[in-house]
Amino acid sequence: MNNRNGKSVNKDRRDAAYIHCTVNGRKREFAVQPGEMLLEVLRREGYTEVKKGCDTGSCGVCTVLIEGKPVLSCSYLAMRADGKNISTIRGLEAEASKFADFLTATGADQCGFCTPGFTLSVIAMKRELKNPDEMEIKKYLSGNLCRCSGYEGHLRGIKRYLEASHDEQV
Amino acid sequence: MEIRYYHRPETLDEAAELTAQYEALVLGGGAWVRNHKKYAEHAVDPMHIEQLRHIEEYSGGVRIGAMVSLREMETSDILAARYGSSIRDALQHIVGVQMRNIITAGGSTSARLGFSDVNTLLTALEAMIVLRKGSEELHVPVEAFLRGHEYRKGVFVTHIEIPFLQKNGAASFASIRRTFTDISVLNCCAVFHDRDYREIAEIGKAASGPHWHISIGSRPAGPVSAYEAAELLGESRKPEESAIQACLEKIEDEMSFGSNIRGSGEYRKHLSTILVKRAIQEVME
Amino acid sequence: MTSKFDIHNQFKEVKKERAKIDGKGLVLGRPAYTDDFAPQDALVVKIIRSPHAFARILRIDTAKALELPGVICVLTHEDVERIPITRAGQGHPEPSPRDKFILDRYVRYVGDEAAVVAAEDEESAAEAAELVEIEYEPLEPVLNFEKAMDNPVRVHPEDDIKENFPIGFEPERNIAAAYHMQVGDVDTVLENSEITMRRSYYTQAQAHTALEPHTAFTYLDLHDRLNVVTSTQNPFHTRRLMGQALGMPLRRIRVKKPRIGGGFGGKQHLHVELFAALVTLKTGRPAKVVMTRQEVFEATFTRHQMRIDVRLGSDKSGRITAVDMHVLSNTGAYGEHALTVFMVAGSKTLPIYNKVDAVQFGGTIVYTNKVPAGAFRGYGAIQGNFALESAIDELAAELGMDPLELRRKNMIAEGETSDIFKIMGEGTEGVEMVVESCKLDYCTSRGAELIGWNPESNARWIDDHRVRAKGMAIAMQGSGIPLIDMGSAIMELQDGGCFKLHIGATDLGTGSDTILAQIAAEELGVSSDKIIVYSSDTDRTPFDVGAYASSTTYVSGNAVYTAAVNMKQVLCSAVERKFSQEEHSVSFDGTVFWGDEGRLITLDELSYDTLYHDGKDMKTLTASGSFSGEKSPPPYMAGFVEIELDVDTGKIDVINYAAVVDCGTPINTNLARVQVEGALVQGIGMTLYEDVLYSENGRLRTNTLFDYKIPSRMDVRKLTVELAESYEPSGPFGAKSVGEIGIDTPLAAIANALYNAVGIRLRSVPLTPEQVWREIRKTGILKSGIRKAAD
Repeated sequence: MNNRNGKSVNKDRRDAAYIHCTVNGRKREFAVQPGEMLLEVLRREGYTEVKKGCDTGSCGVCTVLIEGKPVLSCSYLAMRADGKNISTIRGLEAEASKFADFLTATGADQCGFCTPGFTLSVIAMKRELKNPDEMEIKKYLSGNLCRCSGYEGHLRGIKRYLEASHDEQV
Repeated sequence: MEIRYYHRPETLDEAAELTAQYEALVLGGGAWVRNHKKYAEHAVDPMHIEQLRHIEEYSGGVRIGAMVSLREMETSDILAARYGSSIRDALQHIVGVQMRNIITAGGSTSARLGFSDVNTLLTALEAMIVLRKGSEELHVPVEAFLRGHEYRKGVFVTHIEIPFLQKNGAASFASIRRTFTDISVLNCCAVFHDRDYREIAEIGKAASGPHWHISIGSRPAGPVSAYEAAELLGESRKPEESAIQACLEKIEDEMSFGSNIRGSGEYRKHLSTILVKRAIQEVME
Repeated sequence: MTSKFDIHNQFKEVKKERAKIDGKGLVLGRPAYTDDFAPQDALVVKIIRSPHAFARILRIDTAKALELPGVICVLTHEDVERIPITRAGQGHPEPSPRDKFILDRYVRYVGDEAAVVAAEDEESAAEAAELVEIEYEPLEPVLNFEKAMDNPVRVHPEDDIKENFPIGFEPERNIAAAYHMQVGDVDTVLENSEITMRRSYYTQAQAHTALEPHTAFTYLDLHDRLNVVTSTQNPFHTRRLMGQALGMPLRRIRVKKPRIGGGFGGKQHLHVELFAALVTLKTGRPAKVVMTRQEVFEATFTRHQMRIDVRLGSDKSGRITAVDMHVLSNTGAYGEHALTVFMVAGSKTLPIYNKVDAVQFGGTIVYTNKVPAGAFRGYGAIQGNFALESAIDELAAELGMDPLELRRKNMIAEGETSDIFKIMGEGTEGVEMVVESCKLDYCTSRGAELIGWNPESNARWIDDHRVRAKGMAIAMQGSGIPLIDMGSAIMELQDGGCFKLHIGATDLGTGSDTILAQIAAEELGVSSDKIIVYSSDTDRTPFDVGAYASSTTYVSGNAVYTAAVNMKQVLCSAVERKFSQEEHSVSFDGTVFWGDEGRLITLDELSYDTLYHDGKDMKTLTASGSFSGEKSPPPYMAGFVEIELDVDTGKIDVINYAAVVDCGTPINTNLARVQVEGALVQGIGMTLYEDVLYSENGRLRTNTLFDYKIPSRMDVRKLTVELAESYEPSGPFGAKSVGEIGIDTPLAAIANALYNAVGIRLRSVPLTPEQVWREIRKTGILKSGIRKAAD
């Protein structure tokens, strides 16, 4: 099945392929079906922090970082993760914890179901955008739906988090 | 989705051959086939083919590899410098950054989704799809690619080439959606090309001189070009008010629109004139 | 008694910003939700759902499915005892008809449960579900709720369904419930009024869209008891309803709620629990159900679709003389919450205008073959508010009066009452009540200030196609259901000087565990981090009806407050005995106990002494408290919106939504504000985006998050939420509820703003761009030269 050399391999149904990747700093080998999405694999392997909220790639709760970029794990082919670095929220505990302090200080964390995925998007945004304004923040994060907070509290928390991080760097 | 035979070729030649040989499903980002394709006998995954991953300029325009993500297009300095905000305007609504990090340029065109913002944009920009049919390389206008049945099976898309707008050219993308991240109720793109038409033999269009190109998509069917309406705008980037009016009337008269949950055909017909007008006005500015 | 203002200046723990106690853990992704805890070996349960809007099941062949490796069982109506049930998480007896069977010979909407399969893994279960052959006899469905009553087609032809007590249940007429009340003679008053109006308004069946799909798993424990772990808003009701449905004694069932990923009323009913339980009881094995998003849309409950006919009368000076509301409500295939939701359309709107000479409310709730309706945040009130608050603006237009002024002239004020409070409860009579806290006067004036309200110019063109305009509405809600809702709390002193607080209350992510800890801490004088909260477990926590009807802060909060008062008493008595002090002579400041002669002992020391050092006097110090409200003090609010309308496309954007809310003392200022912000955006979603569309044969078309659009963070420009200074004497530290009130006003406020923008009046939500455009075109308003240049 492993096809680095360009050989095509006959794959019988229910025969798994193996992918090798790094999850939260740890090297892992997962048995996957070629058409399977990463979310199913991660949850099956016990990464329950990666949530499932819809069937259509619409809600953002399943967000993980792959090579530092936020992706919807529900819409990312598991085979594509072969050789990649994957971070769930638990792999970024220090940074997530910093953001958590600002988010929970606004009360907008609410039910929390969207929060691990949302937080990963926020962390990715902080790394990707330099001094984003309000509109840029909202646009970057618009793929993370939240039904509880009305989003305003998120924005308050993010702004303070970015300011504090900025102050730290100065 | 279930895949019976999964192929992960290392080279373009191999990918093209496998695709042709098995009429294989070529995986782009994989996001759409996840929900809309239950089973593929053969799938070709080009994830290891390096030359499909770049955005680069060539003599006549910008070439985008099939495996370039929409997010890479959206944030590309090369594309922004050449086509202004139109690229970003067309891409920014597509679900979210996380999805745009997955969806690819090649996958977007090949999926031929009626509501595609990308295809409406590429149509008006007069992009060419570079594809392989086995060992043969073809350059196909995006519009022909979207419609032609001969490109649906066994074809491996390698690049998208967008010609430069030249000198005074400009592009504008406009859309209406229920929410920001929803698909379009209707989308359109107006482009003033300050150069000749390419030969578009497949759809029988050719002309010389500066010209307008208007495409309208999510009707809810996929994008079509309003050639005759665009011709009414003449060869200037600042057409007369009366020319614009004539163009809009032509669109209203001749374009066909359908109904779905996002809007009726009647509403879409109305929207088409509003959005096209706004896109033209933005290009004029 | 200390004056209320003294009290609230002394607060140490309440009226403060406190981070939610579970917040950080949730951000960090620690296991928290039902599916995170499901046993690895749990059987995967899939529900086979009806593809028909109405059909009789003729035959179910399970043989092929059972042959598939990994498939453990397939259950049909033949495997389930036929007991009519309701799935509504409500008080007992439930004011909902018992019109549902766990599995039945009939299926009554696309998505109704036809059979259940259980297998070792997801894939086998899904495959087995496709292999079960069900032969249906499709029947003609009732799809139009305005034609449901007395339709020759009966949605419920069976004769073994019933009501628990009279609610107007007439299944032979497709009526799930009916109600009527009046004060004075509305017809006569209207006849004699100088101005009268009659209008009809329509609202759609909004979907809750909590991001966690409904999930439950079940297993048998060492004592052979059925354990149910579920994303529910009301564990105790769930246990009772499961006992009823399964014919099991309640002592054999334990229901536990971990964290849940949003509820909004959508998890107030049994949608998954019974199916997991059936499989566990049949096989002895753990079993779980995780709904797909499509199932959540197609086969849980929605908001009740309604048509509300309003008649208003007034004199020329703008004194409203009569209000009449006649409601037709669509409960879909089953009648959970049919009557109660409907009644709230009147009971939480009509008292706002309490100075009328006559008021009337009535109507029917009908069955159709559509997705059933149930509880949803703001239930009834949001529909009623849209109708009444739109009608008030229509009346203002007729009077040539500022709609704000018309409201201020007629609205309820502190110290007043309304006949409605006594007449209308939820499914029963209500309770008489004088309003002891009502800051509507402040809310309306402050809201007007925040939005820049100016009746002379509430519309402004910013270019040739965009106009900005303002609109407003006011609202009231309740705080629990009086004499029906009950909550309780148990506290215990533990070594280390901290307290266990066990509560039956159910935190949906709103932060109720946190605010209940704040209430306990405030009364005891300790910091809230000394309170260890454990909630929502029928085995280990005391009773509570659960989280609905805006009850938790007021009802459960009062229970916790009482428990804390008692705990303090228990502590002081213990110290008095220990130091042989006179009764009632010891006081406690949160750290130290003081006697007449000074310092006696610290809490920390006491906690060790009572558990380790005091020999035969050692004991666990506990206290409890329960609360059932004798009234339901309403929170109030004024909502002011500025919209931007694109007259060429019909698209409306919310530029700013200013809300000023009287919720009494906000126990946690952050969490109270976020409750309002979240509710506003849900209300805005219902007003503008959340269209519900069916196919001709009754299939829900807007059944994914791809097609059913809830607001993204780009869709609302700005929310401006303020909390009024207010104090409710009957609430814990002056608190009323805040969970629902925020959702009520956006519909009318935005529709009113649209009217103020270009003079078109839409009486049906959602205000989709196409609907707005059609109305603009129909009225020809743009041709009349309304388009103006920017100021």
